Amino acid sequence: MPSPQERPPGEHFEEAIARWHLHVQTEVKRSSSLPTAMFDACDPNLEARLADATERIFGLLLDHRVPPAVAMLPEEQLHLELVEERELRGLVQRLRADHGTPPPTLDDGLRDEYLSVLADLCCNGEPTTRRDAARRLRRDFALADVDDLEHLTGALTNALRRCTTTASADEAERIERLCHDIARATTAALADVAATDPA
Amino acid sequence: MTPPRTTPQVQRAAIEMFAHALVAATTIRQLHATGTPWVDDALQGLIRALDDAAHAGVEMPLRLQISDHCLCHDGVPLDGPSLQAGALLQRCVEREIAALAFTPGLTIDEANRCFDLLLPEHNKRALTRRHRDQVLRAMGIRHVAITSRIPGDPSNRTGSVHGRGAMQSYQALADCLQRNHVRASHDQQLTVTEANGIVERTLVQLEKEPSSLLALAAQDNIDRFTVGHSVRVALLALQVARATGATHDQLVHVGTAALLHDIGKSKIPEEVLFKQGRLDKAEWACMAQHPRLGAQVLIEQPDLDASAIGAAFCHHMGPDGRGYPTPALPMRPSATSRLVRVCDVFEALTAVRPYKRALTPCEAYAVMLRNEADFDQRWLRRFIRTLGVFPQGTRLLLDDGAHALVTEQTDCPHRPIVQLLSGPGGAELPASTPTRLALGTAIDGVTRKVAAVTTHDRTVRLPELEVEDPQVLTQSPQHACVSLPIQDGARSP
Repeated sequence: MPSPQERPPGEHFEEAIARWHLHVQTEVKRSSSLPTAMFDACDPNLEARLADATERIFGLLLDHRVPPAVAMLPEEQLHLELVEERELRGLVQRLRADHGTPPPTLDDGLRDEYLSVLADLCCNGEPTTRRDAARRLRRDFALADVDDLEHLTGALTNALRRCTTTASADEAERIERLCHDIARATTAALADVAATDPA
Repeated sequence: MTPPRTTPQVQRAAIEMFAHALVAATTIRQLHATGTPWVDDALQGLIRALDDAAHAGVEMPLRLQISDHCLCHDGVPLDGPSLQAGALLQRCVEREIAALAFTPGLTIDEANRCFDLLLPEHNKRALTRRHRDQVLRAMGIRHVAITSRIPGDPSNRTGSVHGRGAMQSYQALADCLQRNHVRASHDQQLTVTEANGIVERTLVQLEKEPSSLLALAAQDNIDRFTVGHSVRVALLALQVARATGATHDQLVHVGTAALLHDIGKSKIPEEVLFKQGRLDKAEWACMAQHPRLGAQVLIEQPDLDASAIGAAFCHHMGPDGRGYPTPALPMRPSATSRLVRVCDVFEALTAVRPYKRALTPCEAYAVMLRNEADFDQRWLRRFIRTLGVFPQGTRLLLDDGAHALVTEQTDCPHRPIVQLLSGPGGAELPASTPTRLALGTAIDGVTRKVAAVTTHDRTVRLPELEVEDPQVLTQSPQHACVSLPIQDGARSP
């Protein structure tokens, strides 16, 4: 039988604890200078109480064990983000920064985000996704007229302008070109939908 | 060989591990066909957990009782494994099963045949009460026994310690998400109306018992398809949104969006999704597709609100649109997506993963506050204020060496109310000592502060967190930090 310090390869953590537990119980009596009879005579419950205390310690260890469903990598391969003391110290102070600032409204930016996602999926999605995105564009952005490239380019450009605070003249032109290209891809998807789904 | 003598805690842990393995195997069997490596692995895990339990000295056969909302052993609820056991429990209740007993020697084939009887909707009648034993024998199932329910037996309704309502709500969220992940991976229509309804019921439950529902979230360890993660993200988002006075419709939308934000992962190959260790460049590129794939899945759902599509697409983007995926058009995520991102990253940082340890909440906050461009700062700070610097359930070591558990938040985000677990230096608490106190409040001339946060594997020492004028941290000018000692409710006259 291995000593408590030697953990046989592959032995489960809990088996090891059980083995240590047995060992500790045996050692309690063996390491006492009192003869066994004296040991019992002094306090018949001593062994039981020591065993209980040991059990409680091991119990606490088990209560805090790593969740069983997560099989961890070896210790040396585990990643732990390091947080410096100054970062923790400044935590509460940093909460002061926005004292009294109202929280964002959940609907804030929703329509622009939706339009941008639909435009992206019209350009980058699978064919079925393009059709679904185009259907939603028609329904939710009143783009029934599939030839309305200008209208769509305008809507995309406005959405983008709302997202960018500063734009130089060059940038504005680049944005408009980009929106025009996306709108062209999107109207192609819309036309595809119109052919199969005239309603 | 005689099994080694083990403690009750070891046996309890072994039983929980077996129940977890059973729930995980049920999920995998619903998703994959018999004979696939995923099913074989899950069933091997079940068999190994049964052998481990026998080795730990658990009485065999290992008998799991099925109450209406909980798996139990020896009448004691197994809360952790029960969280995602909704489908298994439902199938067992439909088949009037009171208990399943497992004996070592179970094989993969036998376990497969057993699930064939238990899981399919159309097989409800195969296990009729009268012919149960004959059916099991005929199927060659010798290591699983079934006990029938006795109608009206009170043990049918054994509850979780966290309350039946909270357990039901959590199971409903997890089940709904699991079903939708399975449907998405099979290119089937999602059950969006059902998801909205479940989020609505969760809101009602959050009103009634917020602490029970959030405490349950901390116990969920099964991460197939990131179900536990998404449920926790949804609960966090709902809790924060509720605190901002959002309307009912907004809450339903944000809850559904948070619940479904990772649905795109159902389209990622499992060898990438569940790889233990670092992803290589190609695997990372594949994984980075999940936001767009998620939006693709959700856009096919005619009844789904736009916020869910946006959150699936944008939850890896910073408030200025940086991150991934790169959209065709530069964009800025909506407030809903920005909130989902805060909840998503916080949950990921504070969860254990095969490749990383969990950070404590205050460490996670510090990491998230590092770069202002990564998160909407208004949401992040609102999030910290709502959850508290030490969220409910955090174990603390106080400056006098006493251990305490956070039970409640106050208006001061760094001064929660705690339940003392031990006296100074870990000593037993004298009976006359009040056990419930507000941190930072003087009691008998002594003001206790937090010295460290303790987790299952670490003690994180904390520096002084106090500020010169704590009142500036209160939620509103009308609510100053609590400065009255709180009596132990059980001992107050």
